[in-house]
Amino acid sequence: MKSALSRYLNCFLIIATLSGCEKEVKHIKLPQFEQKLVIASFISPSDSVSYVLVSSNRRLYGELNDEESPGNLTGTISDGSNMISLDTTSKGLKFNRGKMQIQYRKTYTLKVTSDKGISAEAVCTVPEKREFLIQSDTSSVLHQEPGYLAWREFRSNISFIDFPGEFNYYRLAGELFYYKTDPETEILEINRSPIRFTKAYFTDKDSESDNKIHTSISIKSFNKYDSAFVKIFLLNTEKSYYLYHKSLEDYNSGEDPFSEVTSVYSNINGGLGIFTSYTLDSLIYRIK
Amino acid sequence: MKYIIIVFLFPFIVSQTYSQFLKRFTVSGYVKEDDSGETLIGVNIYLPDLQTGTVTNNFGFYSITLPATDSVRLTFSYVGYASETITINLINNFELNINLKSDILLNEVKITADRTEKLSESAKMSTIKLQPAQVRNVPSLFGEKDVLKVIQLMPGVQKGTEGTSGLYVRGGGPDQNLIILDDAIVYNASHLFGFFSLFNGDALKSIDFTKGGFPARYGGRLSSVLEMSMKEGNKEEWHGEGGIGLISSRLTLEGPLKKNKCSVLISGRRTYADLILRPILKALDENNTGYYFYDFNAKANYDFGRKNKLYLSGYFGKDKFYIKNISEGYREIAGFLWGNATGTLRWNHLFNSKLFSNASLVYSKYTFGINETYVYVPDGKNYYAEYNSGIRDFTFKYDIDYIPNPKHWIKAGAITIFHKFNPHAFVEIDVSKNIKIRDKLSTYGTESGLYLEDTWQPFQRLKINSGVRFSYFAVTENDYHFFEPRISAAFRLKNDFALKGSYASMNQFIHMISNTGISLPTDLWVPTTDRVRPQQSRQAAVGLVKDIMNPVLALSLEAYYKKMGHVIGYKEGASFLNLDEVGSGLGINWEDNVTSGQGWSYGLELLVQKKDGSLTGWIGYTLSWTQMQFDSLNFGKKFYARYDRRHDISVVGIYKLNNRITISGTWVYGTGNSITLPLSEYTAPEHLQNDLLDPSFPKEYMDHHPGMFGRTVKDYSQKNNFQMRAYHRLDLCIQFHKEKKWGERVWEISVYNIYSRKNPFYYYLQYNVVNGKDNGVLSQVSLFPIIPSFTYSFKF
Repeated sequence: MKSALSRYLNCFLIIATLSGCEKEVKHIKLPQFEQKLVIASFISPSDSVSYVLVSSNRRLYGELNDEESPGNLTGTISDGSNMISLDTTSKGLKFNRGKMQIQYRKTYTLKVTSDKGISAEAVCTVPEKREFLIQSDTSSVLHQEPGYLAWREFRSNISFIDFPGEFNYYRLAGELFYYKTDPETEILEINRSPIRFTKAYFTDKDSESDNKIHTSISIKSFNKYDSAFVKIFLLNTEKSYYLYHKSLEDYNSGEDPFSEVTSVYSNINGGLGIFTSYTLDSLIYRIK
Repeated sequence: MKYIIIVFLFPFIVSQTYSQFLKRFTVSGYVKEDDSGETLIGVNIYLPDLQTGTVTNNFGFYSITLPATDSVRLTFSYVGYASETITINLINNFELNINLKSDILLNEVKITADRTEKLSESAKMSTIKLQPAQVRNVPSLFGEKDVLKVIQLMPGVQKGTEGTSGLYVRGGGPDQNLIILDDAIVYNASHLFGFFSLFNGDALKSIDFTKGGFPARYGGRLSSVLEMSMKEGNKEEWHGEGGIGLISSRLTLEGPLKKNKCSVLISGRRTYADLILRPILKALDENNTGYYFYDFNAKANYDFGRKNKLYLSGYFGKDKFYIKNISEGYREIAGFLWGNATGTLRWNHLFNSKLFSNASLVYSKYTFGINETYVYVPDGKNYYAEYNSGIRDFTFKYDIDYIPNPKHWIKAGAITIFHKFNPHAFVEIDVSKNIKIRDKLSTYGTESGLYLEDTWQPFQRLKINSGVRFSYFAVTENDYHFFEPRISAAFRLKNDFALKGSYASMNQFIHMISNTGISLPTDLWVPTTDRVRPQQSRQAAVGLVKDIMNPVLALSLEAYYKKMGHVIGYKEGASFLNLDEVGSGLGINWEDNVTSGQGWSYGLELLVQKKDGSLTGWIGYTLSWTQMQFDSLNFGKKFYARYDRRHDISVVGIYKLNNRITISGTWVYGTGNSITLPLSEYTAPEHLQNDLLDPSFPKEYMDHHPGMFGRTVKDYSQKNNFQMRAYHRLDLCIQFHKEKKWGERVWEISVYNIYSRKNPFYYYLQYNVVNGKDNGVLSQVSLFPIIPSFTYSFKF
């Protein structure tokens, strides 16, 4: 259905293009390139090391550079009373728990400066520590079809508490671990794969009458491992975390000239990207 | 003795004369075209002795109450017709029906109107009246005459994208225009993705466009009202007219079923664009792809006599885009179609010479659908999917005109529309995967309005149209109701020079949502709901109007300010059809995909019109700004609307060289549309891409291509942050008329965009290699270069 619609619209575009002509736009003032720092940093009290990825935006018009270097970087992070300088890495900056422990409900200010004369600044506030009482209820179905390998489908109904009277934003992530002992070498093999959630980001609007948020996941498992575990991560995030990832999810690259383009959310003053925070809760359960 | 009799009778004679003088009588009747019996709307009736007058209403009826008099002159005048002056003895109520002769029938080169209603005398403001003949004479794309494209040439009306028929009026979007054909609301008024309007000019009698100072009888849309009436059909004898053009052909037949009593008009049009496009699309390896549209108008009316007339009219039109792919391994047939259908039953009743009424029952429908059938030949298993959307209305309206005296014209009425909305109806059947999905969403809403307005003249220099409208809309849990005050006034500072002002409060209960920059049939019509509030506007305007008599010119300068609230649009990234997987068609809720905001539009409009003489036409200039603000768009910041064009100029000239040759031309200029152009690009990393055991990201750094840790996205900074190149083009047309024994034929040669200006249709980013280095280049696609066209039209 979507392909049919795309085809009609593409056909219309082809007709329009054929009956028209293309040319380079000249004698018009194109946007001037302004170099900016692109920052990505997600801090949490549960992290032993917090990273600040820093790169640069790249020009789109005229002669292009493969990689615009952000230059030599220096940075600081402050919680209002203490300020520390950040250590450099190959891709930006970092700091560890020993230098500054990220705490719940505190507001942090990040400043990054480049020797190219550009800088950026951002602020985030770590959410409150909460007990979300993540619960899971799992059932399984064995699928067997002639000529095909048997496989098992695990369906888990997951729920957690949403605290009423405040604005909350959540993200779910998960991993599947399965263990198998090689019969010949007797070495234990561990394999892991991420679990994809159809809907990974939640807000208070998803809360039901029991003040809980409910969702479900489906895992396909081919019956050749000894045991399997699921680990569910619940991140209680700041609003900016939610807005950033939702805007990435909804991002429209603008290749279709008749659709409205969308922008990726940014809370970096003087730059691009995101500086945000989250708290972490998790649940591990065995499915096999 | 005789002196005694005279003395005795004298007081009686004096008193009778005095009583006669105090009495008032009404002159009323219908004004029609002489040879066809077609009623004429907006004919000016002027009484030079009393310096007062009136106009005919939408059904050609007029009424004027005057003091009794031995002799009074009435002059009937209308553009394109010879004036008639009648002198009557007004000692009783007088029925006076007039037939005006068309200047064409009189073989007169000059079109004169001794006393058309002057702009400075009318309380109306921000209105334009177009003659169908003007639409026929203005050059057009592919020779297809288009009412909406001519409206786009008026100040205050912005064009959408190149060649499309969308109207953006004083900052409003294309859904904010109420388009009415014989009382029926028309949704999505265009063929071929907006390139041609669906109104066949041969079937139209009158075209009135209002963009501000809305009288209370209009409601339901924020920005404009385009009211069109179909011809009734010649009541004297059978006639026809038609044309053959590059894109479509048309034929109109009209005539009496019972002379002077009952007439009928039938008009049809069909394109053969599919035949023209077929070889082009075949070259693209598109098997059996085609497109066509057709439309059909019909009207019948019966004249029961002076007091009762009955009309039945309808419109039916359809567009279809289809693809058929047939090969050894599979068969695929897909279609994309949309269309409108309307039907109107109207009854005019004349209670007395001062009170006229019209009752209408109306049906209106708009639907669009996409369907696809795919059959895998080896196993015969098929896939079928169908998506439909549409709106259906049942309307009852009742209007009365009460004209107690020349100083008042009172209108009142009521309207109720029962809407049925189908934002989506989805069917998907996949035999190979054993999937059957049916999902249909229907919503109902009742929209009602009550109004009262009066056009009154407290004294000679001042004319006011004031009124109030009560608007109501009922949905599931809530209902909405508003009082909408309306006023417009004209104060004559001097003869032929007036100061005008207006204020209108408007509410709109149904909305069209579109996430594309062009008007497409995929745009959805949806109702106000408990979550989506009615759109609202408040508009004020002031203006100066000057009528010049020799030559006959009308100058109008207006300034307006419009504030709009609860304007709706798509959320970023939302789409009406978000089907990534089988089964995801369920649960599409359009309310989750829209957001609301506010808008501001203000500007200055200048219009100079010449309506008579060998040379007619107009020059229009608009200077305007339009800004929007949505909390969910552009991160809540204000931005300029896509169709915010600072300057807009239109020059239209129609020159009748002689009886046989008419030359016309149009030159338009507009500041470029605003688009969102990226400033730069960067890599936006996502959290939790790699390591979940410890969600801190990334666990260890390694040298890598930045793309591995993020998504390449563009930095747009601000919505609609860039202005495209200015748009301008010149169109010329020459018509050769020739009288034949059987009628008249016209050869028309027209050239669209005569200097082949490459106006931008859209921009895109392209990459090429120059001296071994990558270069980013902004390229544009232009749509229509110079396009000549030939049309043959005939009348018999």
